[in-house]
Amino acid sequence: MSEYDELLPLFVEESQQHLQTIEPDILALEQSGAIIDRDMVNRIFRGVHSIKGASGFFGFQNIGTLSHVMENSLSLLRDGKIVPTSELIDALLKGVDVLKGMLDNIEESEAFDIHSELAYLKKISNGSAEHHKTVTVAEKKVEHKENDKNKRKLPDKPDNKFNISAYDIKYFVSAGLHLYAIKIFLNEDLRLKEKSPYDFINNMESLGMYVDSFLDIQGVSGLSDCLDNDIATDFLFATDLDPDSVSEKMELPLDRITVIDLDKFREESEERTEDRGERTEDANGETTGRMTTGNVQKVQAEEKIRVGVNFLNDLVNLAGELVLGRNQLMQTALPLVKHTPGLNPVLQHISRVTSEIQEKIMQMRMQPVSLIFGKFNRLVRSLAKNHDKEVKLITYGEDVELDKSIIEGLSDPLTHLIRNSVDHGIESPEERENAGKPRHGTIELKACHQGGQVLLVVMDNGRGVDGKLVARKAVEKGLIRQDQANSMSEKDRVRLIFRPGFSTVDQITDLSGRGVGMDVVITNIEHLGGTVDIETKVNKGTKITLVLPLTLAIVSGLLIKADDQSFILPEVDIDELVRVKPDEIKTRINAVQDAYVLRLRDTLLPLVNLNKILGLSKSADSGPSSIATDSGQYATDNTKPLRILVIKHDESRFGLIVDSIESAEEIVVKPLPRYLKKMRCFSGVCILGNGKVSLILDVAGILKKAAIRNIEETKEEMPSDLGEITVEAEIQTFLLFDNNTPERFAVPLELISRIERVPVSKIEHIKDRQFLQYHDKKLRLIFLEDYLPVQKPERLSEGSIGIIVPKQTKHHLGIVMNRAINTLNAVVELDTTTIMAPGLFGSAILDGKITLLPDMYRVFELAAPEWYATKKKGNTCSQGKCRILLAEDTPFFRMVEKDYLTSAGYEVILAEDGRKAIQILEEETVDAVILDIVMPRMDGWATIRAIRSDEKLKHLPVMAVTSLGDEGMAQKGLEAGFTEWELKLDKTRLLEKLAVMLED
Amino acid sequence: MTRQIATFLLGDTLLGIDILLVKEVYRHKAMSPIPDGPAHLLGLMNLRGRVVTVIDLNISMNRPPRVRRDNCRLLILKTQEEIRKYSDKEFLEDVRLGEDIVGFLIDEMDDVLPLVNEEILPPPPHLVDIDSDLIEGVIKQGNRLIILLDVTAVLDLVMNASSED
Repeated sequence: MSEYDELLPLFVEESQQHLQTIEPDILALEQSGAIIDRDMVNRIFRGVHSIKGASGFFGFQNIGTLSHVMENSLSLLRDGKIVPTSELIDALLKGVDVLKGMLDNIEESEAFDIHSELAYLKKISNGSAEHHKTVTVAEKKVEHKENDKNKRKLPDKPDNKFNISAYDIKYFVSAGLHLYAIKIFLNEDLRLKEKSPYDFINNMESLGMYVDSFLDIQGVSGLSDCLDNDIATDFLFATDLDPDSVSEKMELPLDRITVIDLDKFREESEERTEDRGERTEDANGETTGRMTTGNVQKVQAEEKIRVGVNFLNDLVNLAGELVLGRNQLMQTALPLVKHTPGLNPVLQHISRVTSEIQEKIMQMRMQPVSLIFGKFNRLVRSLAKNHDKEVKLITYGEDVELDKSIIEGLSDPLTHLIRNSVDHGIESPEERENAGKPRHGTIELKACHQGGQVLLVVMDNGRGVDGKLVARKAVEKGLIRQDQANSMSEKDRVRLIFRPGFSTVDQITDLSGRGVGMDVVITNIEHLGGTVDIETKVNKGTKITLVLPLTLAIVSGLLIKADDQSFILPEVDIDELVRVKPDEIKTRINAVQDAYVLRLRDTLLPLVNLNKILGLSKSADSGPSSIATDSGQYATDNTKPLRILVIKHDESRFGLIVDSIESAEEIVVKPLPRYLKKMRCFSGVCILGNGKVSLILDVAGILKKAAIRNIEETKEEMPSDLGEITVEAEIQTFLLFDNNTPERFAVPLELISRIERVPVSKIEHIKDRQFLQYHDKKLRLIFLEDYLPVQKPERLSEGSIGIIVPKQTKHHLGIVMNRAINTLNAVVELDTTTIMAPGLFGSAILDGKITLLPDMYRVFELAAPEWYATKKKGNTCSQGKCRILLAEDTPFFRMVEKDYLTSAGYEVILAEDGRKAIQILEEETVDAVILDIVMPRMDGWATIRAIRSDEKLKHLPVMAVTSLGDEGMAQKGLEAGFTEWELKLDKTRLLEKLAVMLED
Repeated sequence: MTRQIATFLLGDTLLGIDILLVKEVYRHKAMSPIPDGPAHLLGLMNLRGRVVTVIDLNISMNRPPRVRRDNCRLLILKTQEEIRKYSDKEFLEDVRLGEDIVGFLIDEMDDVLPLVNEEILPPPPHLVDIDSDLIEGVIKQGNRLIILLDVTAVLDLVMNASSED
């Protein structure tokens, strides 16, 4: 049965495609509620209808019957006879599932039990039983021999070949349509004409209306029974065309077309035409509507060819090979170019075409994320239903494309995240109402491109994740210790949910909470070369961001050499490159017991020698298994500089010593042959530009093999010989924000009055300055990129921006940001050398990223110099320079205030707290004191009391510089003896007040 | 059923494998060694854009490794995918080649012999230097003895050898 074998897979494939489009439409139907989108219903109808029709070719009765019943329900729906209730949608979805099941296992489809689905659907659509009275129609007895032959073939089914609903018949009659029985031979009419069953059905639908079909073989139980006969299928077809045109349009001989006797129905119909006139018209309009849409659809359908994945992969390989060949050709031919006229353009052309071919082939592997997004509507719906929650899923960016393998790998983690959101995130409707939120929760699923990567965001507006709760749970489960939990930042606590064996829901639900959860997500995503980030706010919601590479196939890496052999190290694993000069080796590399460490800035980094780890040795003749080199070599062999790659893996970092770094390469990753699977140091292989095979190093494996004892970086206090400022540990709270560029910024929270979010449209431009009306005042907006050496972000003309309004400034200024990322408690080690510019305090590593700390007031000064023209008057007192004692516990502020004062020409003495300040006052003479209020050991209040009670110091000017901004506080301060009360940290005001204080 | 056996020389031993398993015979060229890899694996080679794992049959059969590598040939095997189409051949039923391309380093190709299964004899006990697990049988041809390799067993042996632990 060759025609059967050839056409069946086509049928299955096309039916599955139909089902794929049907499902989202059914779901959309439910959301539209009572207002039915007829186009949509028609689309579903057509899909089901086509499946029903095509299944007739193969005699799949179960598929035919089920799709027929579904079709009935849909037609009732379309006519407004029934409404899309939740039950109906359920039943239809169930039907789609069963159809899918049967198609997946087509040979067994007849064995499926579809009774419950049928009964269910029939029950729902039984509201208007009239239309389901089935009548049988007979062919007119005046016809050809063909007909008689049929009857001889089918003695037990003489006349009742087709079953149609009485309603349909009435409709045909009233619309003036003819009914034909058409016989189609699978081999002769389809296979030999290279048509698929669907092509035929579509053609038929464009001419009229397909009604029913019947496989014309007696007692067919499966097609394997058929012998060499061509399988025939009878179709019942309604159209207004005459038999001749039908024959012509369908490319069928006339004798295949039989007219069905409709006369007896016609009479009956005429009797009722009057009272049903309106209805007929309605139906008429609809038919034409349907037929036109059908035609339009046909025109739009893009022609596609299906190609196997293996074929595609071969193509990718060949394209790589082609590029390789091109490169070799270029190298060989380049010397000849000068002497061979015409060669150069040809080479250029081949080169360009080759690149394009490779690019296009790579594109072929790209698939839109809609492939996986699609199924989540269904998932969310059923999950929400099971849990009595109301959840809406909104998806954006379905057309964003990713490599096929990534798309496949994403399905599970995303399903898990969405399940989590429904299960843990979104509260019950009652709970939500009580919290003042809309009853239905929203989950947003978003895909977008960002800088060569793809971001996938799963965001819900549910209850969020409480870091404290998570930490407590983690302690209970023994994942961390209590003291660890205490010292963790909120963000780190939340991230505990990614630890293996963590699950916050006590009770195991069928959704999630089996103790394997987010750790699987993170493992899967990392496996795909991506990262996972979580942002959450209690009672506001959770946002999980997956950052993924566009393709797994191409990776950029460094080509490095160890013992004359080339290896690739993926760039994502590399933090930085360090070159240690021969004369520095002694000082920068130290031995700790038998291991070596590198001094890198203020940390000690464990070192791993690649040659040693891979078992390669310097001595050329010894085999790969020979014993590694003498570990003391770095200290002794100091003729060559050392090349060290600083590798980052999870939380740990280490230095990898290599012989040389050759170049950066874009490589196509190939899987490791199975014979090397147990080699932990390699993750894959690739073919280099020179045609050699190179192994790709696996950082995790190297780390394991090296078994570095103390992999945690040892922090070490280094003498500040490079102008680095050594500061004591002091926790400070920062606001982290970004400027719509990859750079991150932080401002001490103490300096901020408030953060506003305003629509971009509200910004008013006056010459080259931007203002915002803010509490009846004109707030001048300052863009960081205008005054700091940072990247310029794209400024959109719509959307909204964030504005940081600092505490008390004389003038109204605000700093524009994209969004606040987080607040962070951290010990800041301010680096004032690496990145420095006017307007910056410096930079620091916060939350694992380099973060710039802008000096807001300095930026304001740069932005509006006219407001900040500091009087540079001689800040001299009796004996030369004025001396100021500054007592401040936070190193950051201590440094900043000192900067301000020295820049204004004062001499500054520093104290970390009140007690130290008093000690200094006993020994030194100063002209004024600046005190912080909140200090350890001895606070500002105690200090001022001590100062005022001292006879000598009674009249010394003392200013409080604090972040305690309450009105009453200032009053209380003045009463306690402070000369001035100033809020942190406005340079101009500070200096002005100080000057006034000193004059008095 | 008639089969065809490709025979080749490894040192002075005559070995044979079914010709349906052979993808091609290639000249030996430079390959990338596998650091710290098992001695069975000679390295990786680029065969028109696909990576070939090259196996030293001497090591696999417990014989001293070859000293000189010039003038050798690579007997490159098909993958499981490529022999799938011979599913009607009974004698290939138990063959598992894996999805990676593998090459055996050999000295030279010898001949292709037609053969019926009945001609395959059990290995004589005096073949002490080759593990009998790796041998499907022997074929007598005149005064020559051809050892028919069990390719699946050889590959399994190599795979299990490449353990680092």
